[in-house]
Amino acid sequence: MSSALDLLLQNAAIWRGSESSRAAASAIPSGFTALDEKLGGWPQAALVELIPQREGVGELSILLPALSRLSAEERWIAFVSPPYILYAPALAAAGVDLAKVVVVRARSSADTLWSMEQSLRSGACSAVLAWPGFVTERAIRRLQLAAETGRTLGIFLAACGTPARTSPVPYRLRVDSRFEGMQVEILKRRGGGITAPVHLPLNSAGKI
Amino acid sequence: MLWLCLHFPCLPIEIFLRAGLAPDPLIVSTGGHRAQVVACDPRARRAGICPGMPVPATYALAPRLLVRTRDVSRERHALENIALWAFQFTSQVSVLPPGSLLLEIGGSLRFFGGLDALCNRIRAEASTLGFDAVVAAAPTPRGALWLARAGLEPVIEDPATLNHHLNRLPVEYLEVGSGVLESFRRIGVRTIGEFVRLPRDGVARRFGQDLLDRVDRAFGVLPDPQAVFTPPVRFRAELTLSSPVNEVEALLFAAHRLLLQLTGYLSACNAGVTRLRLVLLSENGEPTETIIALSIPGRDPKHLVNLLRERLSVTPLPGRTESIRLEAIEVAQLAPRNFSFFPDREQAREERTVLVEKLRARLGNDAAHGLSLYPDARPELAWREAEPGTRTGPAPYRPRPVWLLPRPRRLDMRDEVPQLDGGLALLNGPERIESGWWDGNEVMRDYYVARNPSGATFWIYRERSRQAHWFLHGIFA
Repeated sequence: MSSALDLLLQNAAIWRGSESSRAAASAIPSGFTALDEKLGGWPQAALVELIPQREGVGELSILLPALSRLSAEERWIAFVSPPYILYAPALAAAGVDLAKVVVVRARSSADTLWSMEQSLRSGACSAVLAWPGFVTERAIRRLQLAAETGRTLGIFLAACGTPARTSPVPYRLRVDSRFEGMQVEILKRRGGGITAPVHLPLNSAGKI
Repeated sequence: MLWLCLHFPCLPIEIFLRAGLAPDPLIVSTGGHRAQVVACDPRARRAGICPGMPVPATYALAPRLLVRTRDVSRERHALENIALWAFQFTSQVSVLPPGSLLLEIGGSLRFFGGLDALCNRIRAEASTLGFDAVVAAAPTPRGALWLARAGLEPVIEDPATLNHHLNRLPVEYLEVGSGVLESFRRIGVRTIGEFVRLPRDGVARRFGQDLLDRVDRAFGVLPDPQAVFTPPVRFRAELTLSSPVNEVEALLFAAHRLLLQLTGYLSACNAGVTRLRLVLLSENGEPTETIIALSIPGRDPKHLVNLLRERLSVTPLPGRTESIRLEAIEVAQLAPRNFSFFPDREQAREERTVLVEKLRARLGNDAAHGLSLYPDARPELAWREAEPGTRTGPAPYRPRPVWLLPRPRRLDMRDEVPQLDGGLALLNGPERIESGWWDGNEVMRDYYVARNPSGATFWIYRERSRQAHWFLHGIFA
């Protein structure tokens, strides 16, 4: 009887709630304790999809503490196809070492994905942020593999208000502003589980 | 003193086959009246063609035959290019047309790991360049030359063995005219050894003192200084493909050969290339030019081939390419490698450079750049594009948005309140910036941090002019 149950439970299609574990040991602290509790820090070598609900809610500010910490290392931080000018004084004020920043301007979506893959795979970057537009499932798998090969944190920011859809990205977060602060919904994370949204209040200067 | 002679017996035909095999059997003819075959490729040889045959006869043996006229100037040019490549082994290279090079390698042996290792390496690399080399080593230059021309590949380090080998060579290799050879045949002198045993004053009277001096130099009795080949100031090499091609891989195969020559030249100058120009000539004569820029001087052929591959895959070609030309526009001295205590650092730096160069090769030379600050009060000028890795000054202390718009966008107004998806509430400010009266881009603005009802935060300003319009300049992402 128990052996039949074991056999059933070995089926990969069954997910057990008790198996949701914390993220792997190597993770980059995000700088926000409330976020780290739920997320365990940004993953060292995986893809993260950030969906801002609208522009200007802090979708990049949420990353800046981690980027500042990463810029202290030897490796670079690459920004691929940013939609506007990445303003150097703002990055410097957040503590990001500008000597480690590379901005890549790719003209087409295919070139953006290629640049992302090259930067992720090379191992020369500690983090790659990209604005690729629409990414197919196959491309996401390739990028995930590249991130693991180069041990790079890969973050791609979707267009504002994109509806969440199934994809092989291991981490997906939605960012919105709420009640004088920022609200982060963790739509998907390694280890699974559904968590409540995280609220990050703003300080008086308009920053988180 | 130890001399190495590199003899290229198939040079006339190799210059046509360097870029890849021809689609049909190929022969090289003397051209003109009563043309004869000078050299033929393996397929032609299998069809029964051999050197010396009259050219019209060859058409009967192989109907689909490509015939090229012998091009002595191109052979000379190719030989000089090989000399450039050979400079990485020694600084004393002499060019002896047609088809031979002399290298003085006595001083290079220890660095390259011994004579055998050096000879094997030279043979292998010459064949990657596309040339078959016969390599002979001897204590005298002329001795090595005659042995190599005879097709022998001995490795001789002492004069006694040299005498033994030279004596057994036929007199044809003495570099004399057919009249003198006929005289030798009549008096029964067949080998150089027999020639040497003839009485010297008689030989000087009949055949001239020059011949005696030449033989003395070959045997090492007289000194034999060689004219050194000087490399040109700028590297420039060209290769014509045997038939026009379209595929990138075929072009890269030919370009790889040129890159190997470039590497040899750069090794000789202890330099690396920072700007490379590749010109592709199409069938109808249209040149397509592309320039590849490297951030640090480099000469690794594998890396350069990768960069060329990325660039060629995005370069549109008007037609099939007939010939390619490689020029090193900018060359810089390579800093000597410091072996550091922390090898990971060096490797990491190389990885970063390789990444930037790869991105630039495919997306354009200005597609990847770093950021730096600039001390200017005007926000749009407070930053600059820079080479990645440039150190920069301290950060400003006022709030600045992560996104800056390339051109400020005028905001709509409703009841004196600027609108952007709703009325904007001013949170912080005003920060008054007045600057730039000296270069014509005068800026007189009051900056505010503002938030709209949805919660998005922006950086806006009001012009301090008569109209006092509101503009959006940045987004606090």
